[in-house]
Amino acid sequence: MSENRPTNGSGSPPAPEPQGDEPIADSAYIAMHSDPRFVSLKKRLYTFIFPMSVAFLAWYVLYVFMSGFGRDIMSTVLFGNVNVALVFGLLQFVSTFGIAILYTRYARKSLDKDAVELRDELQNGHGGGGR
Amino acid sequence: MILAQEAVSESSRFVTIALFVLMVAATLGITVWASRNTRSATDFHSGGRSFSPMQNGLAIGSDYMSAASFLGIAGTIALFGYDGFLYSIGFLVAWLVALLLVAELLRNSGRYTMGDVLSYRMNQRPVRTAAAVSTVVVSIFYLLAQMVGAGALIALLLGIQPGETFLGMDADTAKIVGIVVIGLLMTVYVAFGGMKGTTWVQIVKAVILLGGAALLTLLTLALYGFNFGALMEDAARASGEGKAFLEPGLMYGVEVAGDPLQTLWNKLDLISLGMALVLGTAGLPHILIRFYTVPDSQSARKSVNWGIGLIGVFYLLTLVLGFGAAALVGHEAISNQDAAGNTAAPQLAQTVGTNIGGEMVGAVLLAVIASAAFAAILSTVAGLVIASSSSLAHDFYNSVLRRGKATGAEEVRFAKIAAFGVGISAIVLAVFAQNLNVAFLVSLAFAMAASANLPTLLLSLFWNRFNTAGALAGIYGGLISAVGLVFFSPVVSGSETALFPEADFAWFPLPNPALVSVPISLLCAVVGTCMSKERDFDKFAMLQVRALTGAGAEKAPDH
Repeated sequence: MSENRPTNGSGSPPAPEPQGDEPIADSAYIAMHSDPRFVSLKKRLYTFIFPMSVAFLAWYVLYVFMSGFGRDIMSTVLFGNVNVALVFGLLQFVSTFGIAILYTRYARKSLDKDAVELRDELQNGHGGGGR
Repeated sequence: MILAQEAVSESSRFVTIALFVLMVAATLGITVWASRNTRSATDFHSGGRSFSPMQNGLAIGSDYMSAASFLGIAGTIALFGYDGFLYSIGFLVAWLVALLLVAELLRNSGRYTMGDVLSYRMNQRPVRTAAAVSTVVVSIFYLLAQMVGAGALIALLLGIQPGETFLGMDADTAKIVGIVVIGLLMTVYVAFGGMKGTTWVQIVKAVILLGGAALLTLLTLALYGFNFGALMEDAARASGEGKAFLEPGLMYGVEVAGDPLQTLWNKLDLISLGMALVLGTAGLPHILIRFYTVPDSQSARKSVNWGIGLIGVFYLLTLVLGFGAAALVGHEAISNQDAAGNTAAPQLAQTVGTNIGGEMVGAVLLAVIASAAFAAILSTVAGLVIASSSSLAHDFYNSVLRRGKATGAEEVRFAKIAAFGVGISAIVLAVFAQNLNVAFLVSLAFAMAASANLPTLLLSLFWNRFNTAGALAGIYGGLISAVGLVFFSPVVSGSETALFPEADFAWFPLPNPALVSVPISLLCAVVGTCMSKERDFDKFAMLQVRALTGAGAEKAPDH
């Protein structure tokens, strides 16, 4: 998958459009939406992404707000030429990297397996003809 | 120390041009290769969905590390110190919005464009039209920013001074030639190479740009014995601002003595800018379509992680380069060359190279950084052209004009024509817009993306009640309020630096509209939704199941 090298030779007819257009029946999707396993998957996703989004946006807005209205604090020198503003800015880098890592771990541990299971069930079990 | 000095300028110009030509040849080679391997609509729009997360991550970084952000941020740091760093932080944190709320869900539920997700449970034709309008408008403004900057930059990188001629061109002609050459190249990349060609051009560019920036950073730090503190001290001293150079406030949220109201507006404008930066990224169409080039949503997540890592490191390098330029090149030499500081990084390359190994090394290092910047311009504009032409072909031509009945081949043919249309319009507009401020165009594009696209996209993914009227109100309301507020801001009239300095109809005090236009868009979307009776909870259930599980998601074609 990592190689971007189509294998059909030149002169062959255009590759067919991918068959993503649901072989799965609408009713199967709708039934899945109220399946307890899906409800639980959704809950686990939402309880991570929404609070985390509020948190990092608040943390960022605080930084920008302090850059505008908290300059006395931002200009406090901690040591050498390093002031609060520089440390606060670098902490935004740290928190961005950190949240990305946390989310990736969380998704691998608590989301991916169930998502794949439900997907396979939809594509193989219902509606027939999933790939 | 000034860029174009006789002997240095000649040798450097030769190396620069040789590297430019080499790069154009290499990228055209990629395009020819890609065009042979682009057959289906999925190949054209989404590069066959077969890129690996690392490849797409490099391309994401490449879309983002435009010349405006490489040269612009380094230049802002060099001239205004800390505030340039502040700008880059907004650009970085913005990726968390894309990672947590958008990338995977979009990859699972859409096909080629942003419009796929927006229109999923709506009345197709009006919502697709709105999505195409907003995609093209946002992309064209961003494209203009890049091309206007590029024209001037190429003149500077080739060392053509006002009053000087090169191959019979004066600086103004060289700017126009630069715009036209870049416009034609980007059109060719997209029309012939499609998403595959564009993505490979971006991967090559990311490697060149990161490599060049890392090399220059190492050499700069080496001159200071890897003591960043000493570099900051020197930069602050050389800037003439002292400690204030290391603190926020020289460029954004400037305190005007004796005018507390203006001071307040300046500080609110800083917050408004911060909002546009952090919310705009996940609404930029050329960023969104990158998530379709990978096989599945897990790969989309991984590629955003790659992007965050590369972009974060890149901005840290830029911080060193900016302080380095302030310390070693100096405020005067930078602002004499370019008032906005866009040439700070190339100038630093020349100075550092000369300090380390004499004038010839300086000339070569200058040429390397200049070509990295040239590559940066080329690949970012190509990404914008493909976003526009894909949306025009898929959302407007196929779904609106042909009511979804066009074949893949017809859609690709239209996309290629659209690429020429977008390319030529951008060239013409950029030639006329030459004197617009680049930073203003970039921040306007981000403000429009944050207002018109992001709220509607999030409501589409997460609000079961959302409907056609709400989507239309959100997109058009956001677009119109962003553009309208800028029109009545000091950017357009009522100040010395305005577009029309003689006129004064500026009743909106902030140059950056996002603080007001994003809430307006949200309000329009919610009110629009509630005023219409349309609702389709079943369709929403289907969208959610698809988005969260990946069932029925578009796959990479089996080869």
